[in-house]
This record gives sequence, structure tokens and C-alpha cells, in this order.
Amino acid sequence: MGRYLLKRLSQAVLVVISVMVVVFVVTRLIGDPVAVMLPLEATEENRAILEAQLGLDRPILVQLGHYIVDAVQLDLGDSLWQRRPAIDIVLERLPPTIVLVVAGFVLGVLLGVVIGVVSSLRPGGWVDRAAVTLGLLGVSLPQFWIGLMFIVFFSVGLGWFPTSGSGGIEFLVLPAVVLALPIVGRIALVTRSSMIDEMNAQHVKDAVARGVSRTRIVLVHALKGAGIATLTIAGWELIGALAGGAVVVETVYAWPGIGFTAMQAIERHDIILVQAVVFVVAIMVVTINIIVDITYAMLDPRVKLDRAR
Amino acid sequence: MSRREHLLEVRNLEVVYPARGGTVQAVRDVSFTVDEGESTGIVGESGSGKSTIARAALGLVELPGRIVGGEVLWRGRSLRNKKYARQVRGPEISVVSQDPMASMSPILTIGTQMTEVMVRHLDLGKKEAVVRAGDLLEKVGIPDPGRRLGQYPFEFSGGMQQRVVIAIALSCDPKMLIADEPTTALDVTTQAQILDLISSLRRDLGLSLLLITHDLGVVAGACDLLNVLYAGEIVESGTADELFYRPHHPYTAALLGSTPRLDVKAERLTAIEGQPPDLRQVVAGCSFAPRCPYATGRCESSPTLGTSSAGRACACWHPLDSHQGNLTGSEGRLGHA
Repeated sequence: MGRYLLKRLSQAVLVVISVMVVVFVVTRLIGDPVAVMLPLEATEENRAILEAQLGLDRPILVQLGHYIVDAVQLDLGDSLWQRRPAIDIVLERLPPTIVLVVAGFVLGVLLGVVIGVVSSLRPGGWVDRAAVTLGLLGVSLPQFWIGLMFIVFFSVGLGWFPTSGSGGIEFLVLPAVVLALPIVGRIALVTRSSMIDEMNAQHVKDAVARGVSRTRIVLVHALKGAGIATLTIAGWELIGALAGGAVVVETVYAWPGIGFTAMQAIERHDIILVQAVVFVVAIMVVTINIIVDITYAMLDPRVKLDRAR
Repeated sequence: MSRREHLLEVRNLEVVYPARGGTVQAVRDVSFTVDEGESTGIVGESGSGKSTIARAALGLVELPGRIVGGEVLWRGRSLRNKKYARQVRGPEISVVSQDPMASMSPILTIGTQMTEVMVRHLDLGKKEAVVRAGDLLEKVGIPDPGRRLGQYPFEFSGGMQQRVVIAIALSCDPKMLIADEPTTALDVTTQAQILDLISSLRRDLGLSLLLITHDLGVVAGACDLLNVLYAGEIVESGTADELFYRPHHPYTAALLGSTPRLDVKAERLTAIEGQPPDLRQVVAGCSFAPRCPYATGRCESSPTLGTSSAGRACACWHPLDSHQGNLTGSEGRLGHA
């Protein structure tokens, strides 16, 4: 276990650094931050001064080198927009995102697994067909559109929830549900099909023949096996929610998390802040991946993390 | 007819499966019984309906298969009653199936798979169940049961896995074991060990056995009574000795003739000519007639499985007597078919 973790962590560091390099290059391709920061009537001289202040006049490779050396020490530079350390802004905005992503993810996985299991019990029955249809809708409807429709319907029409912003739990409901919907869909579809496979597997049929109860058959024999496929998808979903879904949903609901911050930073060409957001998200993504792999080994005894080489 | 109550009684069982181009008549008018302590074999080639019979004897013919006629009785009560069948499976009837690796959950310890049924059916506490599971493992010849209980199926070799499957099947002290091709997935030496184990457990525990196989070598030592299945019908039944040494039905004789023998040098393996009938069509007359060297016009009407002397029965218009035991070399008579 220890050796495995060490190996995975060193790989993770490499992945994060590669991501940083890619983001560094891309942020420098999308536009000139100095042009956005300066007023329209600024002169070439003003421009040169600001560039020198920000260190943008140095050769790009030197910038990259400094940037990575600083990043390793958790110094990601000052936000161009807010003129304070970017990492502080990201860490301030991180808790709301974690609340939103965890709420949406837990809701999505729980509902998805329940729907998947229930619909697998009678494949082709009306419950199953309804569940598959809902699952496909959840997967295919775009989140920004669902988000807007929910605001129109539940906030403006029925007045049940606030339209946007943050505060009490009532602010969380709509964004969490919108974030959860595609997760519910995909988890339900995957759980359903792997449950159907498991229920038709020889070992499940034989367990029935040996007198194992129906409840144990479904919840232990079949679901534990099906859980391995579900876990794979759940890992992707968590990463997707964090790195993609949160940006869309937070922007629609003005939820003050890192996704919303990332959008604001991009609009303002605040490349330092964009890099900081990506840095933190990348670290979380590789961590989630490691956790998923360790969970595999816990679910499936055939998976050995420390294979002696 | 004896008034004695049979343990398992299958009476005029008819099972069909829907298929493209009609309905497959998988089991046609099959009747047999298994009594206390008795061991009965069902022999047939693939597709003859033997596994369907095994499922029916567990009350587990599931869709799309359907029982359309007859009865399966356990101690005189119908296993078509789902609630009764659920009570019976485990503490009364259990199974050992073909591939031991596929037969156990790969992600549950064998201890869990043994104790879960005990806790349900024997009213045992978790601790007592573990003790009993250890005893059972020892009984089926697995050393160091305490450690083994915490292991997973993939940590056992094939033969050991089948021993574990047998131990799981015996968890609730059943009266009858249904063994559906229990040795087919094993190598030959392991086969013999597993068959010996099943036989000795039968003696020790007074188990009844319903052994289902395509392999005459397997039933030879393990079964008292034999039913030969062809195209969903029992064509001959009797004691194992009788059937082996004096087969009456030409199919039984042909099956015996196609078993490779070590004491006879043969260039080619003997096979039965032709194919079993397509069970989607109604089979008129004797289903073996198209492949039978003895078939005559009379075989166009169905022979019935009449009981003759000594509990023997044979569904054939032209039963062989003891002098004509072997069919090989008599292909010349096929022209009359």
C-alpha cells in the first residue's frame, strides 16, 4: 500500500505539472491581459511599464520556469483582477464549490444507483422503460438549459427557491439538482445494465438455487459486483462535476465557487487566476483518481495494488 | 404403484422455450423419481433438456421457459408453488453446477457464501455458522479451514473450488443434491476425486443425488438408477448396471458404443450418425428413428416408455436383447430407415 501510494503520488505530481504547462501555454494564446487591464487611452509606455511589472516582458520560457518553481511553493502569483494572491482567492471560493459538488454528486450517485437497481429488477417493464427514458434525458439535456428552465419554473414561476446567489440551504437545492441530473442518468444506465448482467450470471443463479434470499441476491451478490462498473463511472462523474459541471452550474446560479470564479477570470483575461483555479482542480482530480483506484481494491479482492514486480 | 412418498417426483413434465420459428419442446413428458438415499442419473447429450430438468427440480424454470404440463413434487408438494420452492431450496435441495469458478461470487469470501444460507435457513448465529462452515470445509477435504474461510474463490485451484462449492451446497444439510455436470470443467484425475467425494458424502450423510451429465463414465460409478434422455424424452430407464451391460434402447447402446475405450484399439472414435431432431417441430413417432439402424415403418408412431421387468423401461419398438449390445458396424441397416 505504501509503495503503491508513493508511486501514484509521484505520477500525480508529473500530471499536475504537465497540466500547468498546457494551461500556461493556452492562457498566453487566448489574449493579452495587459490590453484588458489598461484603459483605452493608455500609451505604449504605460503598456511597457505594466508588462515589466507583471514580468510579461521576459522570454516565455523564463516565465514558465519561474512560474513552475513558484507554483511548487504554492505561490501562484497575484490575480491581475483583484491584485492579491490568486491562491487566496481560489481557496476562499473552494468551500462553496465543494459543498455544491459533494451535494450534487452524492444526490446523483444515490438516486442513480437506486433507479438503476430498481429498473434492473424487471428489465423491459414499465418502471424500467420510464427509468431508461429519464436516464437518457438526464444525460442528453444540456445543464445550462435545465438550469435556466428550473429558474423559470421553480424560482420565478412557483417561487419555491431563490433564483441565484448563495446563503441558506434553499440556495443550494436547484444548483445541486441540476448538477446531479446527468450523474443520475449515467449512473442509473450503467448500474442497470451491469445489474442485469450480474443477475444473469451463473453465480447469482446458483446462489438462488442454494437458497440465498432475494434481498441478499440483489443487494449483496449482484450489487457488489455491479458496483465495480458503477464506481468507474462515479469517479468520472465526480471529476466531470468538479471540472466541468460546476463551471456551468455556478455561472447559471451565480454560485460563488471556483467555477464561477474561473468564468470571471477568463472574461477579465486574468491568466494568473485561471492558472490557479486549474492548478487546484488538477490536484483534486488526480486525488480523486487515486481514491477511486484504492476503492476498487476494496470492492474487488482480485485487484491487488501492490503487485510485486 | 408404491404408496411410499417419493422425495422428488417429476411427473409428465413438459417445458417449452419460445424460439425463432416456433416453440422449442425442451422437455417432453418426462417422469422419474428420486427416493431417500437414492442416486439417480440423467444422461443425455447437449440440448437434450437435462439442465432444464435440473432447474425444474429446483422450482426454477424461469422465463422465457415455461412449464406447460406435468408436475414437479418435493415430498408430495408442488415446486411450482414459488413460496414452497423458496423454503425447499437450501435446506432440502441444493446444487453443484458445472464450473466452480463461475458458480461462486468472485468478490465474496467463501466463508460469507457458506454462512449466508445457514443464517437464513438454520437459524444459526454468525459465530455458530462460521464453526459449522469450518467443519464442512474439513469434511470436503480442504485443509486449514479456518484460514480458507476468509479467502476468495480465485485463491483456490479448480478441484479445490469444486470442493468448496460442494461444501456451500451442503451448508444447510440438504436431503438431495442436484449435481449438474459437476466434473465437466475439471481435469480427469480431479474428476475422479470429486466423484469419490460426492459418493462418500452420500454414504455419510444419507444424501440423495440427482446427477446430470453427458458423460456415461461419470454416472457409471456414482448412480444406482439411470435415465437416458434423448430430445427431451426419457428413452430408457433402469438400474445403472442393467443399462450398462444390457441396453435395450438403440440410443443407449449407441451412446455406450461411442464411449472411447482404452482396451479396444480404434483408429477413429465411433460417433452416432446424424443430428438430434429440431425440437421446434413436432416430432412424430420415435425421435431417434432417423438415426436408428433398426428403425422400421412402425417407428413412425411413438413408442411409449412401458415398464417391463425389474423397474426397467424402454421406449422402443425394437428393443435390443443382450446379444446385440453393440451398434458399431451395423450401419448397413440404416437403409431401412
